[in-house]
Amino acid sequence: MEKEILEHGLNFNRRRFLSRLSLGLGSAALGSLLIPDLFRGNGLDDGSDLIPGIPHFAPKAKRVIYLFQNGAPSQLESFDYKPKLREMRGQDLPPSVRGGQRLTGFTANQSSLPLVGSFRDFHQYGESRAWVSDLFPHTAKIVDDICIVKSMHTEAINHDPALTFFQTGSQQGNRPSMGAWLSYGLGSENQNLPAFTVLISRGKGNSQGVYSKLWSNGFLDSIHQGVQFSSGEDPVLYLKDPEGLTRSERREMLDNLSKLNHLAYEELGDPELTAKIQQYEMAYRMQTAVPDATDISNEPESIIKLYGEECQVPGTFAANCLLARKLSEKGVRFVQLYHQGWDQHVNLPEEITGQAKDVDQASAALITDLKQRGLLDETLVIWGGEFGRTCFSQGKLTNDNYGRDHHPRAFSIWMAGGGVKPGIVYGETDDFGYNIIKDPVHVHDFQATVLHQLGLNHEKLIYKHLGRRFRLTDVAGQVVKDILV
Amino acid sequence: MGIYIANTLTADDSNFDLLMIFFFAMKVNYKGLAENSIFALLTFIVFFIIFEDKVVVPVWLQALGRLHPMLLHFPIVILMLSMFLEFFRLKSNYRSQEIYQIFTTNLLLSGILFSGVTIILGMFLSKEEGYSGDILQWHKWTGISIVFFAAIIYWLRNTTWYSDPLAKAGAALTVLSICCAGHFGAVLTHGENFILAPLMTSEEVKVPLEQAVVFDHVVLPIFKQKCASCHNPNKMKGELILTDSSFIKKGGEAGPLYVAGNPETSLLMERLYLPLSDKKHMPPSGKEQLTYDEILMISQWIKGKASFTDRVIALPAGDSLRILATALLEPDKGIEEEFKFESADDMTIQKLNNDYRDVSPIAVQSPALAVNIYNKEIYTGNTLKELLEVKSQIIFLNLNGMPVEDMDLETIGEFVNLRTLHLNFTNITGQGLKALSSLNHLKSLSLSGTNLNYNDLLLHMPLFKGVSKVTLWNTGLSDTEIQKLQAANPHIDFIAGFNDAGMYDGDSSGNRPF
Repeated sequence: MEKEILEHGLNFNRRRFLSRLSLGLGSAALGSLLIPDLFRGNGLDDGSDLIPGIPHFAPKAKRVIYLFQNGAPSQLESFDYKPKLREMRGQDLPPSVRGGQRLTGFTANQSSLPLVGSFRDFHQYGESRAWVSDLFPHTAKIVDDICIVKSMHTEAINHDPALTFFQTGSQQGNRPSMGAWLSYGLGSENQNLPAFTVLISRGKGNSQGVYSKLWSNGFLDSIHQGVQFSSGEDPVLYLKDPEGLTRSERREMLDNLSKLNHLAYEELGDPELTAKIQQYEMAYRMQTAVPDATDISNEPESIIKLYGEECQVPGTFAANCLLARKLSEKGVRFVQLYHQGWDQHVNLPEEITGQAKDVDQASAALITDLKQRGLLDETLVIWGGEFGRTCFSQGKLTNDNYGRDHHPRAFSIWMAGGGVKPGIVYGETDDFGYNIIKDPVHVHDFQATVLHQLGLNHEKLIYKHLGRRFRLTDVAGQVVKDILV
Repeated sequence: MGIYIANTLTADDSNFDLLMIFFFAMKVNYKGLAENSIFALLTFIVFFIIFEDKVVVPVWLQALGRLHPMLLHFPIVILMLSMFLEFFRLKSNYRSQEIYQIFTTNLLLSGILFSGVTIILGMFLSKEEGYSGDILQWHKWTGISIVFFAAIIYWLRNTTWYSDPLAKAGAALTVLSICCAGHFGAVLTHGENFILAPLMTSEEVKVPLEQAVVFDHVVLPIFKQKCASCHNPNKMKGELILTDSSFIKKGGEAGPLYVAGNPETSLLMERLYLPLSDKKHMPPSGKEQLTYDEILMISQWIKGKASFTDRVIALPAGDSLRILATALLEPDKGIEEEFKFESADDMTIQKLNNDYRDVSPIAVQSPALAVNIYNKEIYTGNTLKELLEVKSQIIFLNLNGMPVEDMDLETIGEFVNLRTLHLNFTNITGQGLKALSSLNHLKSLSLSGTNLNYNDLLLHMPLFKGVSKVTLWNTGLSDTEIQKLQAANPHIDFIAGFNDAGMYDGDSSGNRPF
């Protein structure tokens, strides 16, 4: 133990010594052979000279609000209009379309794969003439402010890996979440609030769990971890000082605690202690900042109407949308919402109606609200799930009931604000909504695009851990320039 | 003399002995022959220079001429070394060393022989097609000067008046000639800037997309980068020059380069598309190849009638050439705005930052600052006044929810480079806005949730010439008042937002299903 402490004190151990040695002239020469870019004149590098906390280039978006529709909403009942499926209702999915794709255990043993179109009609809206299902009447009103991407595809076919993939760039977890990467890459805009917050709500539909690993800091410093706000009356618990403790006494207590922690740090050198000191300080400042950011009592009457009456009920999606706007407005970099209940394997018509009702008005309200405050230009809003759903029915297709299984090959999401082209529909799928036929967008492409809008080069936002460099987009990802202003 | 040298050597120096015997023997048997050969070579060179235009090189000599690029390395090394030795030859301690003297003499002699032969072969090579221009002339004359300088040195160096300074000057002059001739020769073979090219930044003068011409700014740069090292006015391989539109129109030895409008039958495309192993493939294997996009762009240019004047923006919007050219010319389209002001001092920025005032550069190495201010209990007019230290750097200022008064706007009016200003839910009225009208770069102004006076806005808004967006939601202005403002200021997009009546702003007809 003494040896480790000594090493920490010196901050210089064998591994670090060896890695320092590589800066020697001989290694530099060798390195230049191995890394051809090392001595290139045009300043290309591995990004290690970039300062964490400052964007690589001027950003379009300063903040992100991610309305994650957990469970995977059906693209065929929302934004990907497929009249052919209605025409061919009940017929088997042509094998040429499926192309031998492996199905999940839910539908692999079905004797037939009967095609089924949306039970609700679609109409075209706005100047963009985008098709939107009647299930989303409010979203239909804002189509000219959003960019619908109909050609998303992912690698995972089940919820947890797909969700983890979307959030951390890896299906296995234990990597930093997108919000943690942004907190690392951009720093906080407001020292009084966490840079990455998480709000969870749940609809009545079949739901899948969300776990704290989704907003983990992974190998990044703990201060980049997502802070989950509770869905009760008090979004952050134990924020009020106990009865009888004055503000100055609290301050004195924290000062002394900090001194003790500093002493411990000097002795042990554990970087988590510095994170802890910072977290105590942040909590102190949050005592005033959070009530201000979460109190909806001073919101104008029109805001309640805009988001819907439900926004006054803590823990609903509508309340979380309003809270997300308030936090984002106060400089929270990344507000991550999850709305659970979109996993409509069976009983889709009834369940999806409820789910759509939960989120439609508040999602559209958020866009309108940001816009009327002049904040939409600098806030990127994302709406979507972890994958899509099959064009054939899972289980028995009856006159008024059907279900849809998981489908990672093609699904729809929308984005708004933050330098994303408003009023466009990007990408196309075939007549069955099964395969992408134009402009596919992989999850890594999506992540690269989000980072790009925040002024970060996804290839340079790296963190060295366990001897290699890690990125949110792993070794892939291309910025989808066509959807950017 | 040879006997004398042999006597001075010890028995162990047998290797050295052998070397000396070689030179000694050469002197006895071949030195006179070599001197005569040099004279013959020089005569031939003079003859060749005089009758250059009339000389026709037979085919078998062409093959010999092509040995020039190989042979030239010998005289360079030999003459360099002998000139190095010559430089110190008359120094007192070397003057008496016979070995030094003899070795230098023989080395110089063989160097002259080699350079003479190399020059003649070079002259044969220059008669082939594809070699002309200033660089060739420079190469020829500096090359010829080497052999003459060296020969003069050889015949004068043993005269009594040949002094140490003269020997040094002669050696230096010859080395200079070798360097120049070598350099010009390399330019002919490898193209200009061959050595430093990898170190040069590829920063070229950016042409705004609006002015970009497809040929000049998309096609020609590809030729210049990937083809011009062999197809330039100095080295016209295949009688083709790809650095200039008039020559490109003309084509080369094998005929016209392209058939306008028809890339499939164009010679250029054929050469680009042939397999790399085919000897007619261009660029030849070993040279940097064209990328997929570059070939596509050239092909699309030919398809579009190979115009030399068409502009990029004149192409149809979905055209693949336009898309590729746009990506090429504006790789970071719209991302980076160039700021012309100086950065603020890092210490000043650090000093201005506190828990409730966030001052940060918008990007690494950008001079522009974004400022966010929080906590209305802490805010005073001074919070803004302190920012005057960085008044020309602030481009973004967020004061949402702060008790900002009209008089504070005077301070903001000094932030001359401000682009975005958020004043939602502040205490300002329309009156103070005049102080902001001097902000020439202001583009976006958020005034939602403030208590604005319609008449003040009507008065002041026309002053905001560059502003493109103003939010007026929840300001107490009626819909008709906002519509009137909109009519009076068509360059500004006024955002009225959502009101209590449950209506979205603007023309809602676009929001109904069709």
